[in-house]
Amino acid sequence: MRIRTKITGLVAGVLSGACAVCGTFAVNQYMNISVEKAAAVEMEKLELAERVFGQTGTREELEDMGEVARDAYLKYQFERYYQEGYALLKDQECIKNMTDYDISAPEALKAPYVVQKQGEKYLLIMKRELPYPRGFWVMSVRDITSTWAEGREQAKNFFMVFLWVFGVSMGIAAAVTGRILKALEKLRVQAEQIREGDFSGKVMLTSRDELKDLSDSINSMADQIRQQIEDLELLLGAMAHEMKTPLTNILGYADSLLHVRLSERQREQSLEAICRSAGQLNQMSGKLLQLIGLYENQEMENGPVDLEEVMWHIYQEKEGELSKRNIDFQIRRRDGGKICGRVSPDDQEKPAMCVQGDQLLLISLFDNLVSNSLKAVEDGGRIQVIMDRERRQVRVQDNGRGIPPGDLPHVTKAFYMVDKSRSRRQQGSGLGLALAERIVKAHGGKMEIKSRPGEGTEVTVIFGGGK
Amino acid sequence: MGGQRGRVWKMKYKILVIEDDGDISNLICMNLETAGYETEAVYDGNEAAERVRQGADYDLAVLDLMLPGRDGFSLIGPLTERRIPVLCLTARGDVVSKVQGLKMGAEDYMVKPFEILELLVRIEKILGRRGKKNAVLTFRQLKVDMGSRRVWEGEDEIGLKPMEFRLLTVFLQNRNIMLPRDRLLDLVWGEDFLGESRTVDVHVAKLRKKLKSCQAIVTVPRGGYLFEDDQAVTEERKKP
Repeated sequence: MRIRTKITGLVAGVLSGACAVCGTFAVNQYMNISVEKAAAVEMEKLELAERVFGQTGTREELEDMGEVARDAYLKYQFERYYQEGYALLKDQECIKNMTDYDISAPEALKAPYVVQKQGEKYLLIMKRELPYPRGFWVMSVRDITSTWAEGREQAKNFFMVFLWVFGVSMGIAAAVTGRILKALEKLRVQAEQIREGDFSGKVMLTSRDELKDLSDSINSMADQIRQQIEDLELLLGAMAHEMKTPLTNILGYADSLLHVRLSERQREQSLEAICRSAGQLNQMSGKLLQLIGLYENQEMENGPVDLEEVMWHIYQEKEGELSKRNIDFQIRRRDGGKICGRVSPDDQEKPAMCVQGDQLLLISLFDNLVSNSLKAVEDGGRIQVIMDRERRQVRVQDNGRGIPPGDLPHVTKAFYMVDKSRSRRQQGSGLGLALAERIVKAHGGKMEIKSRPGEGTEVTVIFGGGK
Repeated sequence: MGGQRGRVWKMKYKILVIEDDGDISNLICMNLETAGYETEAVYDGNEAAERVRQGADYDLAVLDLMLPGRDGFSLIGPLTERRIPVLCLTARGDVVSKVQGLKMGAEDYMVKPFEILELLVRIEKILGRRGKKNAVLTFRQLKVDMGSRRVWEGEDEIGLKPMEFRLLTVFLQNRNIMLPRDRLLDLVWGEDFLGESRTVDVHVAKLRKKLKSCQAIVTVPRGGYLFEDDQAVTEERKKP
């Protein structure tokens, strides 16, 4: 059932029910009071007439008379004192009827009064026993059709009022539901748009109610989804673009190997280039998978990770390149504000710097940072890693080429490369810092990059909160 | 090498390859050289602009649009001013870039990844359009004058039918490249020609019969034909 039907049905039902009960009760009450009043008036009249009738003879006088004479006398006197609408009963039998109606079985009347319907007329019938002689009753029959008509008029008025209230209420209910439904329809249309991939639609509700809250939520949800989709689209677009160079190489060299007469040296070169490009693609895909995994918040290990161990692990991996290029690589500790001497892997009183997190991801993070430094420094350069246990941060700094200030805000974007050809020569995927930032965020930390062209770069990873 | 107006005799076309990725640059140069062109590789925009400014003479430039230093689009102007036709070869496959490149005066536009044969054919077409065909193609004793459409082998002039002549020039401009029969049909007879691949075989046989040098046309089993020019390969061997 539609909401409109439900709400209008409910309002109509409640209103009619309430009005029917109230109306019936009120009209009944009114009628009762009217009839009662008429009965009271009638009773007074009967009493008055009776008192006057009493003057006609004392109890003794009447008792002295013979029955026939007394009846005739009473009849005579009754005719004199009572007007139309009364009847004299003797032993529940009508002996003088001045009403317009036949009276039958008057003994059936037990209550003080009764209302009887005679054709179109309503009659109030009452009877009262004369104090003497015994066995005589006076019955009064009064036409109270006008009272009834008044009651009916009252009911009609009440019904008119009810109709009016009903109409107004239904109008208000319809307006309110219409408003709500309109808002709901807007929200539905927007949800439909979102389903179809259009996130531009915004619902602007002016009311200040739950619907407004809902629309706000939907709006911000749409924004969030759009942002995420845009991010992923950018990532995807950038990836497709970045894949072109290695793909061009692989296809081109393979094509050449297949269809062109090449010298032995050229063949070798071609194969090497294919290998190199495939390696590049492989690296890119690995990093992308990691990045997407982080986007999807896949299960992350969460255990204590000793960052010094992580750094030593990276050092061992890079040792070959470091010594070949004569690069000074140092891991230092910062204690009480001053940087202490070098840390060596078999330091006995090693105050390990631990964070909660995923060891593999953290290795990947610092591997990326150190690799970046390695790419930036000249042969014979210097890379320093400073572990600050108190402030829970690790800084990787080098005296390499640095990043131009204009590029600095963008370096954490996927596939952003300051110097594309250089980066590619060095097997850069353009994903390193994007990945690093994701990993840091996943660990609830943040990453700060400072750099001066020609002087070096300093990346600080700040891990949030204590253990 | 002489300019297109100064000298009639020209041994090889010289092509400037402006491409920042070392491997792709090498790929283009390697194939162009094997096919019988002379190449010069430049790896960034500023250097390319410098070469052009110095007035080095090229018959064509293969240009990557995204370059370190100067943007590739900005090089189209200076190159065309020097009457060097430009073939854009780029990863940017969007229509806007294409239109922009062509509007700025590029002769042709190719999107990476590309097929070697297509690149060679497009280069050939540009050179043809640009009236740079007044050059002479040579191979051993063979000399083909593209302008007058005459062919000599040693001292003797050999008469070739139009299709035979076109087939020969296609071979000479794509030396050492395997040319499938259907590709040859497209290139020589045109894409609308509804011939069979037999037609190619017949014409190749005629060429081999008329010209001794055309023994260099090798049939590749289940592939097509390949014009072997050992010179390019030998020259390559001499490189360190």
